[in-house]
Amino acid sequence: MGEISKFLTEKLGDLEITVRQDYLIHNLGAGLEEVSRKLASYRVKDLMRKLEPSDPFYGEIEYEKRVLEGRSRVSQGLMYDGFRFISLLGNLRDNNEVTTDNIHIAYSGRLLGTYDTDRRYHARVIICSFPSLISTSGIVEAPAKPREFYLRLQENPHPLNQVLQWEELKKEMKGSFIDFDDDRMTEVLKGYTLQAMLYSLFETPFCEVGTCRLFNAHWQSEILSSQLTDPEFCKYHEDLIRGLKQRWS
Amino acid sequence: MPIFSPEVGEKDVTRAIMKNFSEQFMKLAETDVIIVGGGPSGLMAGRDLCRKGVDVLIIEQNNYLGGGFWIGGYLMNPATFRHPSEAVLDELGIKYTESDTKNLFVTPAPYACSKLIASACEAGVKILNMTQLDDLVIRDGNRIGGVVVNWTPVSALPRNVTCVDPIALESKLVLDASGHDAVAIRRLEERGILKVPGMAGMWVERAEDAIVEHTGEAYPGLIVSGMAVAEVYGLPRMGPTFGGMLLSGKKAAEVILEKLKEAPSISVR
Repeated sequence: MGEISKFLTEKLGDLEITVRQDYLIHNLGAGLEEVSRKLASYRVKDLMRKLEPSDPFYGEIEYEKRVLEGRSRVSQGLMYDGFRFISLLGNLRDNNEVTTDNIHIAYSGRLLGTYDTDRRYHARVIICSFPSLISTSGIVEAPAKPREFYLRLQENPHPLNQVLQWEELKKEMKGSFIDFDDDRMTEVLKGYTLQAMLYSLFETPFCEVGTCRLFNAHWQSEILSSQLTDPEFCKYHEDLIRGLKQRWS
Repeated sequence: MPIFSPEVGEKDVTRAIMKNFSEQFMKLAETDVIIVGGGPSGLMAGRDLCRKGVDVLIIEQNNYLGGGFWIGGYLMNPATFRHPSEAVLDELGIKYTESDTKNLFVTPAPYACSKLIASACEAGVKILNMTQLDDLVIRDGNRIGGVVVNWTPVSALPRNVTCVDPIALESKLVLDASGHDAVAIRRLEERGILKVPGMAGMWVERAEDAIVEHTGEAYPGLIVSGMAVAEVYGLPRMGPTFGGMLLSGKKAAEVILEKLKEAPSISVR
């Protein structure tokens, strides 16, 4: 988070940045039981159906408690409803901080999704809102890996071979997508953090130019080209960000 | 000169079976932990618990233990294990080789399965096979306090022919290790207590971690391990790789030991 804070001040000037680790467990306004219950009820079990309010059962709540208390890890691949998650975070904020002077950006290891107009959930890297939410799992899971990855995985439908092939393909195509524990993750997060900042300021976080860090990537290759290669920004956003820095410095 | 002792008659064999069964059954009517299902996660949990001095009974609906652990997948014997589960194979004294893929280990499933069964039995696990879960004992409306069982063949016959009431076995905790059937959990579903989403599609890379992480108490007094976990929480299935089952069993044993320590009325010898 230190690197991301430094990046923001480099780009936008003298911002006062506070980093709060493990936000949920330290801000359990409604208590551990209630927050665990809410988190459990936000889990998307059917990608094709919009999440309806439901009562999670005992074991689901216990699992979320274990995760919040650091006794279990967030299981990769489980999706949570992003907007409900944001609503929980928003409600836990200190009311004194809910002003136009403050921008809240949350980071989560959970995989987050939103139900879209094509009537199914889609995994997301970023959900722009108040607060905005960025998912590190989303960076790995949401943008599609290279087309060749999936085609080659389908070549051999036998499950045992797919187990082996998944690992092999990841090794063979290493570098062509962001993976868990990837050294490039922090660099990618910087660009998405900037998207969240611009959303809070102008409600227009994304850029149409594929090489700009504000580009909304749908493929891993687009993440690599927008976040990790020059030029950093398109001309329009370069000027915009420079202007913000001049104003705030 | 006969090879076998001539003084042992048919009645003696019958009496030996009956006496041993009834003596053991008297003790099994009340035990620390009942494990529903004698597959890899149930056997692993039972073994670890017995080694810590906990009384464990496994009920198994088939005539054999091991569940799906006898075969590796697609009728092929090699069973696969991803790192770090090979440590469990070491613990059980099971030899294995590393495959062409780093951190993926292979051993014949019948060999691994028989070693696990032997290890569980040697640890002191009691077994009732050909025994099916019929229902759960529920205390004070919200805590599992045992199981209701019947002989497996009873369920195979029409109800009007085999109108045989089941019997109940009491325990401090119950572990549902019944695999995809998740039979104990489904009894709760029948009562409208929870809804079982069923497991999601195969996603090996994620499934094993998720199953181990979710292994735990799903309802007061009822712990879930192995593939039943995937069914209960709607987790991805993981295909023919068994490390997750063994580690889930170990995790279940840890959870149960904690629960036994927490509850004042429950003690570990």
